Amino acid sequence: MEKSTRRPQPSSSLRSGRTLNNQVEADLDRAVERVYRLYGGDLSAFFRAAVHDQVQLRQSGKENRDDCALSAGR
Amino acid sequence: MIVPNPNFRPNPSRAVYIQGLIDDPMLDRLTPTIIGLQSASRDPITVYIDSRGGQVTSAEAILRLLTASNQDSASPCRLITVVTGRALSSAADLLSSGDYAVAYPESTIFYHGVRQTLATPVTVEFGSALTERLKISNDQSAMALARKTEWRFMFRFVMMTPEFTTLRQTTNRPSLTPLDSFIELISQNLSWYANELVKRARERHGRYHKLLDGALAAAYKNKVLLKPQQRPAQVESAIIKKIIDFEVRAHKNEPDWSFRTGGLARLNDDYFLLNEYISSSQSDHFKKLCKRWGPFALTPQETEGIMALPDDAAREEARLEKARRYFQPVWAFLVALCHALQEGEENYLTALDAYWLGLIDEVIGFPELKSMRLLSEFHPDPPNDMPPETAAA
Repeated sequence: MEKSTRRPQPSSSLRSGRTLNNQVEADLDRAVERVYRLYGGDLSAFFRAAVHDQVQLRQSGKENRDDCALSAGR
Repeated sequence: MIVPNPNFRPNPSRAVYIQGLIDDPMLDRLTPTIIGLQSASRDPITVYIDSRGGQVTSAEAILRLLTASNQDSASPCRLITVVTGRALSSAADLLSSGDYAVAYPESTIFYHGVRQTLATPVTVEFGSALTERLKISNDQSAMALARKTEWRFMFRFVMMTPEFTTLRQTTNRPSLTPLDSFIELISQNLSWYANELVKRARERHGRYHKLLDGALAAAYKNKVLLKPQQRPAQVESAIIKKIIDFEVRAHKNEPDWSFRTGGLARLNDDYFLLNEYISSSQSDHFKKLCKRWGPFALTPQETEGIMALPDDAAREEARLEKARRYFQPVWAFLVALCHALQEGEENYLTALDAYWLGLIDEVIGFPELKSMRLLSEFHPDPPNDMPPETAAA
């Protein structure tokens, strides 16, 4: 691994925390409230449903690609 | 239903590429593109990374440019960072600086301490000063990494909380703390290298734990930290005295231990940690974090107790206080982990390691991993037995 030439006294930008984007944070707060309202705070149940949906989406995408490949004679 | 949210999705049509050595020529090359993207809109910018690192000053300049505001003081463009192959050294710092950080599955991520390449002969005085500067710089870099990753790390912790009870039951260890449960559960998913890293972090955290329990508790007990009329130097002085007492007690069985032979450096470390601990735990970021995730971390009994309180303000205060008790130890462990990442030369992490350690948000191709994107994008169908007006709320 090559030697880095990182200076011993870097300035502040890589040091600071993340800058919160108000719009994104408000969206996330709403998402968290939605989980709490619909699942009573049961994150496992929420993510089980979400992952299930996502896996299904991926499979349907794969099937679509397979269909395209078939129709293209591959 | 999954509704894609561009705030969590890499977008090659609004992207810059960090490929190869990070240096001033790279900064020169990227500057027009970054400015062009920011002028076109304030939508997220994706930063694709495949780099062995390079000059930290150039990496910082790129990051400063990427997070710049404009003449109307608009918020910085949201940054989505994506490692496609390697994110080593300062490229790893860039990756973790993303508001949302993604990794391709076979990526390698590597953090290390600050290094200095010298072209001139070194005197004792210069060597000592350099050692001190490098150490301070490492401490600061570790704290910076902790601040950048605390949201991800706490999210990981909260996501694991439902599994703590099962772990305690199956291993017959009912007194396992939430933090220990969390570390044990993530360790099951880590590579050998990452587990070695966690071991080092645990050792360091053990010392933090004693220090925070000892010196900080004593400072709070004497109300040292609660007197607003005091000058900062008075508060600092009181904390330093508590640390000195703590270290003397901690080394009572070591006759040769002294402040002159290493103890003073430890005092410096302790002070740095306590200072960060106090300021972080009182920061708005930390309060927001406790507010958002607190309800998921609390036990049903704790929630019931809070709900029994007479008014909203009291409930809010109690919720924050209870949540703080869960999240502060986790935060202290994260700091220990970030320090461990700055030590040694063996901190090579896989994409999955980086995910479980909260250094990135998502690994492409692993839909089963819980992510902030999924939280934002998944809109569940309301349960069938929910009244229509609630379901529509």
